Amino acid sequence: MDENQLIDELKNGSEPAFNLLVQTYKNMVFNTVLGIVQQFQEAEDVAQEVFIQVYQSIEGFRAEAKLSTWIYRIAITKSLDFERSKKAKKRINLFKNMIGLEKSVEELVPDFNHPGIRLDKKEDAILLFKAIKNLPENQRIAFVLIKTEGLSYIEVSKILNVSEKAIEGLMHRAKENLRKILSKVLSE
Amino acid sequence: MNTLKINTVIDSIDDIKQAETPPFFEIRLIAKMEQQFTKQSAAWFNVKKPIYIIASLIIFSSVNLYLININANKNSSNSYGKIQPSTIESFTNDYQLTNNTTY
Repeated sequence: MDENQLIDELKNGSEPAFNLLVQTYKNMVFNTVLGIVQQFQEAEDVAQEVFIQVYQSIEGFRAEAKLSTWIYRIAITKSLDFERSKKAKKRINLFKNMIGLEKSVEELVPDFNHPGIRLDKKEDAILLFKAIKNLPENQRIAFVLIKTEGLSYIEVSKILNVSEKAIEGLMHRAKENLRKILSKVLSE
Repeated sequence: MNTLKINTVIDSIDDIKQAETPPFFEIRLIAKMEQQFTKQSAAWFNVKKPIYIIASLIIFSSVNLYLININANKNSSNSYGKIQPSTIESFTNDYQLTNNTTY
């Protein structure tokens, strides 16, 4: 089944077509979300939300971009929305702690250990993923898509709807910022 | 030394392999979808939704206005509203209001 056929079948509400879509794109979606969210359980939840969104919005998909590009966009949006709501919840809890509504329970965030990293590079990768968390959103997305998903600059430029030059700039700034963050961490 | 270490850290994900979804991902996805869509269909008519509250208010006030209007029209066309001369005459005759009664 080619992409156009798959899209038509999805628009007709075909269950086998949806199963095929999930089979084809599940690892791509999960890996992208995991790179941004950096927690397994949460990444699975967000990845499921991505497919639910795809199922609900396929009617409006006009095939101006590739199906994978569209799915990447949904995955990025969902991941960032998830992160924002998590941060908002943290702020509310902090406020509740301050006014004494809730007892302070410090949440311990475990180190993120990506399963696709070679054993001898695990420790370095943990440091890197921590540093990635501190990058500005657009730099982080570009870096994750290029480094963990292995996408080209052109592909990322289509997903983020910017020029290839802009992606080059984002990657350059991302690396510079990572160097700054890491030099601080390593000198502590 | 530090620069070398930083470069090693940055390059540590260069040959990363794609993470795979946990087992039974599809089963959990289908279960989640069924759960969400059942909830949605059960909640399609939620009385607390503002749209339903506003719609009910509009319907209630329209019916009220309609009934008030009908009543007003009835009153204006009603024979009780207008005093006919013949009615006054028969009334005065019945109660003999032309006679002066002294107490």
